[in-house]
Amino acid sequence: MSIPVKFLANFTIIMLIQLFLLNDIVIKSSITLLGIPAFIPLLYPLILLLLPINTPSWLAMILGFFTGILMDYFCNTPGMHAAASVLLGYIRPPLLRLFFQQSAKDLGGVVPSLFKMGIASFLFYISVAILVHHIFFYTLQIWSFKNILFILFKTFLSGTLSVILILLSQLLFAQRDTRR
Amino acid sequence: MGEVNDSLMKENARLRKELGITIPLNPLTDSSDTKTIKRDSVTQTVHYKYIPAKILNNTIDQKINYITLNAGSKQGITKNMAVISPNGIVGRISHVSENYSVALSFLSDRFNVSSMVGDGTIGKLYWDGKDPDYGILSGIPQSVKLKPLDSVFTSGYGNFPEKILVGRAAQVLTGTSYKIYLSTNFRKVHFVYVIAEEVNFERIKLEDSTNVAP
Repeated sequence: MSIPVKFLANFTIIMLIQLFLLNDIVIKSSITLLGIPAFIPLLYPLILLLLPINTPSWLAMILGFFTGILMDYFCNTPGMHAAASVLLGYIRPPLLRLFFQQSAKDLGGVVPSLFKMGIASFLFYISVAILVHHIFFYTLQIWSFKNILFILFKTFLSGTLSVILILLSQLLFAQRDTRR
Repeated sequence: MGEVNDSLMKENARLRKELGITIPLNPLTDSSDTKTIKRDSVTQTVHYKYIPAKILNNTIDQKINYITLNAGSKQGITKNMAVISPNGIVGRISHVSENYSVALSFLSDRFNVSSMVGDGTIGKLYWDGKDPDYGILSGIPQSVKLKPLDSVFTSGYGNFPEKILVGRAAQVLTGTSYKIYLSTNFRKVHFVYVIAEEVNFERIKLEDSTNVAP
Protein backbone atom coordinates (compact mmCIF):
# COMPACT_ATOMS: atom_id res chain seq x y z
CA MET A 1 0.00 0.00 0.00
CA SER A 2 1.19 3.47 -0.78
CA ILE A 3 1.61 5.92 2.07
CA PRO A 4 -1.43 8.18 1.40
CA VAL A 5 -3.74 5.15 1.16
CA LYS A 6 -2.31 3.78 4.40
CA PHE A 7 -2.82 7.13 6.08
CA LEU A 8 -6.42 7.37 4.89
CA ALA A 9 -7.17 3.85 6.13
CA ASN A 10 -5.59 4.67 9.51
CA PHE A 11 -7.46 7.95 9.68
CA THR A 12 -10.84 6.41 8.87
CA ILE A 13 -10.57 3.47 11.23
CA ILE A 14 -9.20 5.42 14.20
CA MET A 15 -11.64 8.28 13.72
CA LEU A 16 -14.60 5.88 13.50
CA ILE A 17 -13.53 4.21 16.75
CA GLN A 18 -12.93 7.57 18.41
CA LEU A 19 -16.12 9.29 17.30
CA PHE A 20 -18.66 6.52 17.58
CA LEU A 21 -17.28 4.38 20.38
CA LEU A 22 -14.96 6.30 22.69
CA ASN A 23 -16.83 9.64 22.58
CA ASP A 24 -19.88 7.92 24.04
CA ILE A 25 -18.14 6.04 26.81
CA VAL A 26 -18.05 8.79 29.41
CA ILE A 27 -21.77 9.50 29.20
CA LYS A 28 -23.15 6.05 28.79
CA SER A 29 -21.31 4.51 31.70
CA SER A 30 -22.61 5.31 35.14
CA ILE A 31 -19.41 4.55 37.02
CA THR A 32 -19.22 6.97 39.92
CA LEU A 33 -15.82 6.58 41.48
CA LEU A 34 -15.17 9.25 44.06
CA GLY A 35 -13.09 12.18 42.96
CA ILE A 36 -12.27 10.92 39.49
CA PRO A 37 -12.99 13.57 36.86
CA ALA A 38 -14.98 12.70 33.77
CA PHE A 39 -13.10 12.58 30.50
CA ILE A 40 -13.35 11.03 27.05
CA PRO A 41 -10.71 8.42 26.19
CA LEU A 42 -8.68 10.05 23.41
CA LEU A 43 -7.23 7.74 20.78
CA TYR A 44 -7.06 10.10 17.80
CA PRO A 45 -3.48 11.40 18.45
CA LEU A 46 -2.41 7.96 17.22
CA ILE A 47 -3.26 9.08 13.67
CA LEU A 48 -0.48 11.67 13.84
CA LEU A 49 1.91 9.46 15.76
CA LEU A 50 1.73 6.80 13.03
CA LEU A 51 2.73 9.10 10.16
CA PRO A 52 5.95 8.03 8.37
CA ILE A 53 9.11 9.27 10.00
CA ASN A 54 10.18 11.60 7.18
CA THR A 55 6.87 13.48 7.14
CA PRO A 56 7.72 17.19 7.30
CA SER A 57 6.31 19.01 10.28
CA TRP A 58 4.24 21.41 8.13
CA LEU A 59 2.37 18.43 6.63
CA ALA A 60 1.88 16.85 10.04
CA MET A 61 0.53 20.16 11.35
CA ILE A 62 -1.96 20.48 8.47
CA LEU A 63 -3.13 16.87 8.90
CA GLY A 64 -3.32 17.48 12.66
CA PHE A 65 -5.49 20.51 12.10
CA PHE A 66 -8.01 18.55 10.02
CA THR A 67 -8.01 15.63 12.46
CA GLY A 68 -8.59 17.98 15.36
CA ILE A 69 -11.27 20.05 13.66
CA LEU A 70 -13.21 16.88 12.83
CA MET A 71 -12.98 15.88 16.48
CA ASP A 72 -14.14 19.37 17.48
CA TYR A 73 -17.18 19.06 15.24
CA PHE A 74 -18.32 15.98 17.09
CA CYS A 75 -17.47 17.21 20.60
CA ASN A 76 -18.93 20.74 20.33
CA THR A 77 -15.59 22.19 21.39
CA PRO A 78 -14.29 25.44 19.93
CA GLY A 79 -11.08 24.35 18.24
CA MET A 80 -9.36 22.89 21.28
CA HIS A 81 -8.66 19.49 19.73
CA ALA A 82 -7.42 21.23 16.58
CA ALA A 83 -4.99 23.40 18.55
CA ALA A 84 -3.63 20.46 20.53
CA SER A 85 -3.22 18.35 17.37
CA VAL A 86 -1.34 21.10 15.54
CA LEU A 87 1.03 21.31 18.50
CA LEU A 88 1.46 17.54 18.36
CA GLY A 89 2.30 17.74 14.65
CA TYR A 90 4.88 20.42 15.44
CA ILE A 91 6.72 18.52 18.18
CA ARG A 92 6.65 15.16 16.38
CA PRO A 93 9.94 15.39 14.36
CA PRO A 94 12.10 16.46 17.35
CA LEU A 95 10.54 13.68 19.42
CA LEU A 96 11.29 11.08 16.78
CA ARG A 97 14.88 12.29 16.52
CA LEU A 98 15.13 12.00 20.29
CA PHE A 99 13.76 8.51 20.73
CA PHE A 100 14.51 6.64 17.53
CA GLN A 101 17.64 4.53 17.82
CA GLN A 102 18.94 5.06 14.30
CA SER A 103 19.11 8.39 12.56
CA ALA A 104 15.79 9.54 11.19
CA LYS A 105 17.14 10.16 7.69
CA ASP A 106 18.14 6.55 7.08
CA LEU A 107 14.69 5.20 7.78
CA GLY A 108 12.77 7.53 5.50
CA GLY A 109 9.25 6.37 4.99
CA VAL A 110 9.14 3.82 7.81
CA VAL A 111 6.04 4.07 9.99
CA PRO A 112 6.91 4.13 13.70
CA SER A 113 5.55 1.05 15.41
CA LEU A 114 6.02 -0.96 18.55
CA PHE A 115 7.96 -3.77 16.88
CA LYS A 116 10.20 -1.59 14.75
CA MET A 117 11.21 0.86 17.45
CA GLY A 118 11.37 -1.56 20.34
CA ILE A 119 9.11 -1.35 23.33
CA ALA A 120 11.17 1.08 25.41
CA SER A 121 11.70 3.79 22.83
CA PHE A 122 8.18 3.44 21.43
CA LEU A 123 6.70 3.77 24.91
CA PHE A 124 8.79 6.87 25.60
CA TYR A 125 7.86 8.35 22.22
CA ILE A 126 4.10 7.96 22.65
CA SER A 127 4.15 8.86 26.35
CA VAL A 128 5.89 12.17 25.82
CA ALA A 129 3.79 13.00 22.75
CA ILE A 130 0.54 12.15 24.56
CA LEU A 131 1.65 14.06 27.65
CA VAL A 132 2.29 17.24 25.65
CA HIS A 133 -0.94 16.86 23.68
CA HIS A 134 -3.12 16.18 26.71
CA ILE A 135 -1.61 18.80 28.97
CA PHE A 136 -2.13 21.42 26.28
CA PHE A 137 -5.67 20.22 25.59
CA TYR A 138 -6.79 20.16 29.22
CA THR A 139 -5.13 23.51 29.93
CA LEU A 140 -7.21 24.98 27.11
CA GLN A 141 -10.32 23.21 28.37
CA ILE A 142 -10.06 24.18 32.05
CA TRP A 143 -8.09 27.41 31.56
CA SER A 144 -7.31 28.47 35.09
CA PHE A 145 -4.05 28.23 36.96
CA LYS A 146 -5.96 27.93 40.22
CA ASN A 147 -6.78 24.40 39.12
CA ILE A 148 -3.29 23.44 37.97
CA LEU A 149 -3.21 20.31 40.11
CA PHE A 150 -6.55 19.27 38.69
CA ILE A 151 -5.25 19.80 35.15
CA LEU A 152 -2.24 17.61 35.93
CA PHE A 153 -4.42 14.94 37.55
CA LYS A 154 -6.80 14.84 34.61
CA THR A 155 -3.86 14.77 32.18
CA PHE A 156 -2.31 11.89 34.05
CA LEU A 157 -5.49 9.77 34.14
CA SER A 158 -6.52 10.50 30.57
CA GLY A 159 -2.98 10.13 29.28
CA THR A 160 -2.49 6.76 30.97
CA LEU A 161 -5.69 5.50 29.38
CA SER A 162 -4.62 6.83 25.96
CA VAL A 163 -1.21 5.17 26.21
CA ILE A 164 -2.82 1.86 27.17
CA LEU A 165 -5.24 2.10 24.25
CA ILE A 166 -2.41 2.89 21.82
CA LEU A 167 -0.27 0.00 23.10
CA LEU A 168 -3.23 -2.37 22.75
CA SER A 169 -3.92 -1.21 19.22
CA GLN A 170 -0.24 -1.70 18.37
CA LEU A 171 -0.16 -5.20 19.84
CA LEU A 172 -3.26 -6.12 17.85
CA PHE A 173 -2.69 -4.47 14.50
CA ALA A 174 0.95 -3.47 13.96
CA GLN A 175 3.06 -5.45 11.49
CA ARG A 176 5.40 -7.85 13.26
CA ASP A 177 8.27 -7.30 10.90
CA THR A 178 11.40 -8.26 12.83
CA ARG A 179 13.53 -8.43 9.67
CA ARG A 180 13.66 -4.62 9.30
CA MET B 1 -41.81 0.37 25.00
CA GLY B 2 -40.91 3.83 23.69
CA GLU B 3 -44.57 4.74 23.17
CA VAL B 4 -45.45 3.59 26.66
CA ASN B 5 -42.65 5.70 28.00
CA ASP B 6 -43.78 8.75 26.02
CA SER B 7 -47.35 8.43 27.19
CA LEU B 8 -46.22 8.02 30.79
CA MET B 9 -44.05 11.12 30.46
CA LYS B 10 -47.04 13.14 29.21
CA GLU B 11 -49.25 11.72 31.96
CA ASN B 12 -46.66 12.70 34.54
CA ALA B 13 -46.39 16.19 33.11
CA ARG B 14 -50.18 16.59 33.32
CA LEU B 15 -50.32 15.26 36.88
CA ARG B 16 -47.47 17.51 37.97
CA LYS B 17 -49.30 20.48 36.54
CA GLU B 18 -52.44 19.55 38.46
CA LEU B 19 -50.53 19.00 41.65
CA GLY B 20 -48.48 22.13 41.33
CA ILE B 21 -45.34 22.68 43.30
CA THR B 22 -45.90 22.52 47.00
CA ILE B 23 -45.48 25.93 48.55
CA PRO B 24 -43.40 25.57 51.70
CA LEU B 25 -44.73 26.84 54.99
CA ASN B 26 -43.71 30.33 55.91
CA PRO B 27 -41.75 30.13 59.19
CA LEU B 28 -42.99 33.59 60.11
CA THR B 29 -46.61 32.46 60.33
CA ASP B 30 -46.14 31.37 63.94
CA SER B 31 -45.26 34.86 65.05
CA SER B 32 -48.09 37.01 66.33
CA ASP B 33 -46.91 39.96 64.25
CA THR B 34 -47.66 38.39 60.92
CA LYS B 35 -50.95 37.49 59.38
CA THR B 36 -51.59 34.61 57.03
CA ILE B 37 -53.83 35.07 54.07
CA LYS B 38 -55.63 31.95 53.02
CA ARG B 39 -55.72 31.63 49.28
CA ASP B 40 -57.16 29.16 46.89
CA SER B 41 -54.44 26.56 46.66
CA VAL B 42 -55.12 25.76 43.00
CA THR B 43 -54.85 29.29 41.68
CA GLN B 44 -51.70 29.76 43.68
CA THR B 45 -49.89 26.68 42.55
CA VAL B 46 -50.80 26.29 38.89
CA HIS B 47 -48.22 28.63 37.55
CA TYR B 48 -46.05 26.13 35.83
CA LYS B 49 -46.50 23.99 32.75
CA TYR B 50 -44.31 20.93 32.33
CA ILE B 51 -43.11 20.03 28.85
CA PRO B 52 -41.65 16.52 28.71
CA ALA B 53 -38.56 16.02 26.58
CA LYS B 54 -35.98 13.37 25.88
CA ILE B 55 -32.25 14.07 26.00
CA LEU B 56 -30.62 13.49 22.62
CA ASN B 57 -27.10 14.55 23.47
CA ASN B 58 -25.32 15.34 26.70
CA THR B 59 -21.76 15.97 27.79
CA ILE B 60 -20.27 16.12 31.27
CA ASP B 61 -16.54 16.27 30.65
CA GLN B 62 -16.11 19.86 29.50
CA LYS B 63 -15.99 23.21 31.20
CA ILE B 64 -19.29 24.33 29.67
CA ASN B 65 -21.66 21.47 28.89
CA TYR B 66 -24.74 21.50 26.71
CA ILE B 67 -27.76 19.19 26.57
CA THR B 68 -29.84 18.69 23.41
CA LEU B 69 -33.58 18.07 23.86
CA ASN B 70 -36.11 16.76 21.35
CA ALA B 71 -38.66 19.51 21.95
CA GLY B 72 -38.61 23.07 20.63
CA SER B 73 -40.67 26.16 20.02
CA LYS B 74 -43.51 24.05 18.56
CA GLN B 75 -43.94 22.48 21.99
CA GLY B 76 -43.85 25.90 23.65
CA ILE B 77 -40.23 26.10 24.74
CA THR B 78 -38.60 29.52 24.85
CA LYS B 79 -35.22 30.76 26.00
CA ASN B 80 -34.27 30.77 29.71
CA MET B 81 -36.81 28.15 30.76
CA ALA B 82 -35.73 25.86 33.56
CA VAL B 83 -34.99 22.18 32.89
CA ILE B 84 -35.43 19.62 35.66
CA SER B 85 -35.22 15.86 35.87
CA PRO B 86 -37.41 13.73 38.16
CA ASN B 87 -34.57 13.85 40.71
CA GLY B 88 -33.36 17.44 40.57
CA ILE B 89 -32.28 20.37 38.48
CA VAL B 90 -30.62 19.93 35.08
CA GLY B 91 -30.11 23.29 33.39
CA ARG B 92 -31.58 26.22 31.50
CA ILE B 93 -32.66 26.50 27.86
CA SER B 94 -30.14 28.54 25.88
CA HIS B 95 -31.03 27.98 22.20
CA VAL B 96 -34.37 27.01 20.64
CA SER B 97 -35.31 25.88 17.15
CA GLU B 98 -38.62 24.58 15.85
CA ASN B 99 -38.32 20.98 17.02
CA TYR B 100 -35.19 20.94 19.14
CA SER B 101 -33.67 22.95 21.88
CA VAL B 102 -30.30 23.15 23.60
CA ALA B 103 -29.98 23.66 27.32
CA LEU B 104 -26.96 24.93 29.22
CA SER B 105 -26.25 22.20 31.74
CA PHE B 106 -25.87 22.95 35.43
CA LEU B 107 -22.39 21.48 34.94
CA SER B 108 -21.15 24.74 33.43
CA ASP B 109 -18.86 27.50 34.50
CA ARG B 110 -20.76 30.53 35.87
CA PHE B 111 -24.12 28.73 36.05
CA ASN B 112 -25.46 29.90 39.40
CA VAL B 113 -28.58 28.56 41.06
CA SER B 114 -30.09 30.38 44.01
CA SER B 115 -30.57 27.65 46.60
CA MET B 116 -31.74 27.40 50.15
CA VAL B 117 -31.11 25.04 53.00
CA GLY B 118 -33.76 23.62 55.30
CA ASP B 119 -34.26 26.73 57.42
CA GLY B 120 -34.62 29.07 54.44
CA THR B 121 -31.11 30.56 54.31
CA ILE B 122 -30.26 31.41 50.72
CA GLY B 123 -26.93 30.60 49.13
CA LYS B 124 -25.39 30.32 45.69
CA LEU B 125 -24.93 26.88 44.16
CA TYR B 126 -22.49 26.41 41.32
CA TRP B 127 -20.23 23.79 39.75
CA ASP B 128 -16.48 24.05 40.17
CA GLY B 129 -15.75 22.23 36.92
CA LYS B 130 -14.28 19.10 38.45
CA ASP B 131 -16.54 16.28 39.55
CA PRO B 132 -19.94 15.94 37.81
CA ASP B 133 -21.42 14.50 41.02
CA TYR B 134 -20.73 17.52 43.26
CA GLY B 135 -21.61 21.21 43.35
CA ILE B 136 -20.50 23.99 45.69
CA LEU B 137 -22.94 25.91 47.87
CA SER B 138 -21.48 29.22 49.03
CA GLY B 139 -22.64 32.27 50.93
CA ILE B 140 -24.18 30.45 53.87
CA PRO B 141 -23.54 32.50 57.03
CA GLN B 142 -21.40 31.05 59.80
CA SER B 143 -24.37 30.96 62.13
CA VAL B 144 -26.07 28.34 59.97
CA LYS B 145 -24.41 24.96 60.26
CA LEU B 146 -25.21 22.31 57.71
CA LYS B 147 -24.75 18.70 58.69
CA PRO B 148 -23.91 15.97 56.18
CA LEU B 149 -27.01 14.75 54.30
CA ASP B 150 -28.94 17.97 54.93
CA SER B 151 -31.11 18.75 51.90
CA VAL B 152 -30.59 21.75 49.67
CA PHE B 153 -33.51 23.10 47.60
CA THR B 154 -33.96 25.75 44.94
CA SER B 155 -35.07 29.04 46.45
CA GLY B 156 -37.45 30.10 43.70
CA TYR B 157 -35.56 33.35 43.00
CA GLY B 158 -34.23 32.47 39.58
CA ASN B 159 -35.64 30.47 36.72
CA PHE B 160 -36.30 27.43 38.85
CA PRO B 161 -39.50 26.99 40.85
CA GLU B 162 -39.31 26.79 44.60
CA LYS B 163 -38.46 23.70 46.64
CA ILE B 164 -36.95 21.44 44.02
CA LEU B 165 -34.38 19.18 45.61
CA VAL B 166 -30.90 20.05 44.37
CA GLY B 167 -28.74 17.79 46.47
CA ARG B 168 -27.47 16.95 49.90
CA ALA B 169 -24.62 18.42 51.88
CA ALA B 170 -21.57 16.20 51.66
CA GLN B 171 -18.68 18.06 53.19
CA VAL B 172 -17.77 21.41 54.74
CA LEU B 173 -15.20 23.26 52.65
CA THR B 174 -14.86 26.50 54.60
CA GLY B 175 -17.12 28.05 57.20
CA THR B 176 -19.46 29.44 54.55
CA SER B 177 -19.28 27.01 51.67
CA TYR B 178 -20.23 23.40 51.39
CA LYS B 179 -19.75 20.58 48.93
CA ILE B 180 -23.14 19.31 47.76
CA TYR B 181 -23.81 15.86 46.38
CA LEU B 182 -26.13 16.59 43.47
CA SER B 183 -29.39 14.66 43.38
CA THR B 184 -29.40 14.57 39.55
CA ASN B 185 -27.05 11.96 38.19
CA PHE B 186 -25.88 13.72 35.04
CA ARG B 187 -24.29 10.53 33.80
CA LYS B 188 -27.61 8.80 33.34
CA VAL B 189 -30.29 11.45 32.97
CA HIS B 190 -32.48 10.63 29.96
CA PHE B 191 -35.88 12.27 30.39
CA VAL B 192 -36.41 15.83 31.57
CA TYR B 193 -39.18 18.37 32.03
CA VAL B 194 -38.92 21.91 30.74
CA ILE B 195 -40.79 24.28 33.03
CA ALA B 196 -42.81 27.03 31.41
CA GLU B 197 -43.97 29.68 33.83
CA GLU B 198 -47.43 30.72 32.69
CA VAL B 199 -48.13 34.09 34.28
CA ASN B 200 -45.07 36.16 34.93
CA PHE B 201 -45.45 39.12 32.59
CA GLU B 202 -46.92 41.20 35.36
CA ARG B 203 -44.06 40.27 37.65
CA ILE B 204 -41.41 41.03 35.04
CA LYS B 205 -43.05 44.37 34.30
CA LEU B 206 -43.14 45.26 37.97
CA GLU B 207 -39.54 44.23 38.52
CA ASP B 208 -38.40 46.16 35.47
CA SER B 209 -40.13 49.27 36.72
CA THR B 210 -37.65 49.43 39.62
CA ASN B 211 -34.82 50.08 37.17
CA VAL B 212 -36.20 53.50 36.26
CA ALA B 213 -34.59 56.22 38.33
CA PRO B 214 -37.09 57.87 40.64
